[in-house]
Amino acid sequence: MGNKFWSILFGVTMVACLVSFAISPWMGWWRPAGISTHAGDVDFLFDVILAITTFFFVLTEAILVGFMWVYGSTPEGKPPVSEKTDVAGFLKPLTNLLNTQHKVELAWTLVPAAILLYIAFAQVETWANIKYETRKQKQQDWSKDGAPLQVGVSARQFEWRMRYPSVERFKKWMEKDALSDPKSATRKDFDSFGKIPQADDIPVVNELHIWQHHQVVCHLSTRDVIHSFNLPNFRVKQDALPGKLIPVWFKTIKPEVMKTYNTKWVAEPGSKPEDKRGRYIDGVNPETGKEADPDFTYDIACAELCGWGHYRMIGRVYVHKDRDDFVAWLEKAQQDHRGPKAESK
Amino acid sequence: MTPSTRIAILGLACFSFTLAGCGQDRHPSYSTNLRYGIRQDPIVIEPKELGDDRYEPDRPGVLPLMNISDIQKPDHPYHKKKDRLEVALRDPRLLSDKDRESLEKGLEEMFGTPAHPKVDIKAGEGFDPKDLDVLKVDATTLAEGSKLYRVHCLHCHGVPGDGRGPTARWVNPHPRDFRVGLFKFQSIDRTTKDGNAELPASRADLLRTLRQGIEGTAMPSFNLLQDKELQDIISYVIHLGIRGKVEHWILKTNFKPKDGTLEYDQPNEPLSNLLAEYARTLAGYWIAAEASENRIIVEPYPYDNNNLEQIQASVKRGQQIFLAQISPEFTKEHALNVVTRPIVAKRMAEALAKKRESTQDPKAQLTALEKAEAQKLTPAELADAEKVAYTKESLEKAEGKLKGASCVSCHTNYGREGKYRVDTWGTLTRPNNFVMGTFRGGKRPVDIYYRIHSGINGYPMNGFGGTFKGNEEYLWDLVNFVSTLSYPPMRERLAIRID
Repeated sequence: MGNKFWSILFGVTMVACLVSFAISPWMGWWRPAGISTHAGDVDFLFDVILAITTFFFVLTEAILVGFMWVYGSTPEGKPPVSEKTDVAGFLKPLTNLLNTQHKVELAWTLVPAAILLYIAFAQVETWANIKYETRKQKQQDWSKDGAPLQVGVSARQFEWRMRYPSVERFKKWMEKDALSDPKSATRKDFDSFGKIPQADDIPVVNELHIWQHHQVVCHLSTRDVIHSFNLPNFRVKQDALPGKLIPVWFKTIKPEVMKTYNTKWVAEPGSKPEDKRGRYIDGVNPETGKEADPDFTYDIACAELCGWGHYRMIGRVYVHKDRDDFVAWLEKAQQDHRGPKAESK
Repeated sequence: MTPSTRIAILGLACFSFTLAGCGQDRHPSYSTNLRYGIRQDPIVIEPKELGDDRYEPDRPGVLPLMNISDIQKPDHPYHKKKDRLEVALRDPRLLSDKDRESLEKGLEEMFGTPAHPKVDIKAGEGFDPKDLDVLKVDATTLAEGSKLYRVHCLHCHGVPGDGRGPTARWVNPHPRDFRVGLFKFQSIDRTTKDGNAELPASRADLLRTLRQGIEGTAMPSFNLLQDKELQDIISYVIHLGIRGKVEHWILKTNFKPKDGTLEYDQPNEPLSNLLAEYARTLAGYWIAAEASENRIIVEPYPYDNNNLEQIQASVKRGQQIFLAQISPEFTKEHALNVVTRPIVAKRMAEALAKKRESTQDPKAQLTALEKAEAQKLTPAELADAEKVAYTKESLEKAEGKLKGASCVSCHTNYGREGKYRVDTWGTLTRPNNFVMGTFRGGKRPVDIYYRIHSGINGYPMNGFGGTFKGNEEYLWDLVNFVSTLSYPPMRERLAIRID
């Protein structure tokens, strides 16, 4: 074993890393399917950065292992003194170019700088699309698709407390042109949803309900420490900071593109199939029929170590088929919140 | 051994740690050797001796009643009371070995061990073990519940449900001690003659707490667990509740301190008989908590939320009741109500008789719309009623009967300046600050109704269901008022000032 030990150890580690990386898509270790409109851009950046870092990882590790293999076996670890200082033929042009210390240092400064600059400029567009208020509004044509769905998301140790508008207010906002006048009471009510909770809001714990291909704006806040609102499938990750209200938006891709479709049609009891009466239940496994199946809902995770219960700060995203199906759920949630008896007038 | 071999072994050891937990049962059970054991922490005999004059919550890492020797330390919240501890507390560690053994054996016979929990109470005194079916405490359910409890609940609530798990001392309010046999947030009607004071929560109440968590405390929501898993956990909690309370009860009533030890005071009665008797009574309480007649009957919400005037009036009345400064207009309204209520009730009964087809609950049958319709009085009728109601005598009578709840006496300045008080579990908590908008028992209007109607078990919050019996709309007024307080724009819209 002797002095070859270290080169073998490092070589094996590198190969093990590369192999586990190469097989990861088949082992289910790869990133989950991206189903939001900006998932493609985020994934592209991820891939670019991954490619660059992989190249340099392999390069530097190979050199490290190589040098350890060659020089590790010499007595007392000293480099062998050779009369010939020849280098391999293909490296000749490089030695002519980098023939002084000064030039070598310039090279290892400028090359990474160029790469970093490229990454910095490549991500600007994606970042702006995700974070800028002005771009957010471009993503959805309010007059055509309706206003975005607003949800208040308040993190606390160790759960996510969501806040939805009451069915009445929600329906008012969704009416055609209801929000076109920026001075109308409805518009003011809509705009103040994130900042000012109302008594008729519907609180829900750990469940984020949205519907397909519609913009969702989460007004993110925290009641105690820093948490991070992470929706891996939607490529959303935003820290929740004490004292701050941070809007986060995303929109699922079109239903036809979305492969993992997670709602099930349940016909009304006693109705014929051609009546098409009934509703969609979300998070249903089409094979087993199990409702709220973790495989057919999407995760909400906390991505910032927030305390002992960080690991269990998990929520679920349910994607409904359309707005009507969402409203059916919202009505149910409202009834549950107000209590069956308290509902009567 | 060369240094490199050593490092290689170290590396392998580190790598093997990453495999820990692989391939095991997801919810492994307790070791079969583990026993619940007899409690170590003192029982509070005279809560008054411990006093109400603590003024700050426990520091992190301090549980107020861990054991007697802890209290001897000067930084303990009860240190000042150390002379009175002997009167206030009973230390189960003073049990003689013989008593401890027989107590442990008796409890284990009835309740099993953490790995094999059971509720095996023998029949007697009007108790049939079959009655336990409503509590779902069969051995299979309990075994499942025990596994889940070990994963999700144990680290706070402790193995015997004592609220003293490893994390308990770091969270405040401290986790619930199930051995007291009481739960704060439930829907048991406590306005009955005997007050239902001993009844714990029903399964439905516990399920709601598990699903929603308790806002403002460290109790999180468990709504991502399957329904069956939650039901199993509830069964196990009931098991712990009965077991812990039996132990608590016998130590409190049948063991008296004598010469530095605890002595069993019924030498002629075998311990196991007494244990069985207590277990029967306690199981009876849990069963009674399931009975629908012991639940709060929620009177239908009498207002139309879209009618601003109605809500404004309701919230205003709510504030008057809250402050117990009832205005002459309110008295007038109340006097009129007294006269018109029988007319309305009669009319409602007539409307109902027309509609009655099944034997359903009559109140549920009468839909909201019909009720509103039935309540309408013609102007002539109203004038007649006013004539009767506004005489001097009826107004005086109304004023005498009309009571405010005077919530403000504890919820000082709408709760913003409420004083800390000690609850049954020894935790210092404050009356709710309504301006903050956190409701531990739940935010639903009906949850707030439950709290106002029957109070909070184990805390000096009284119920007002008895005070307002027959005038339940005043309870709803209070609900409306209290839930408005944390929403400044809504206070403005409803013309409520709280400064």
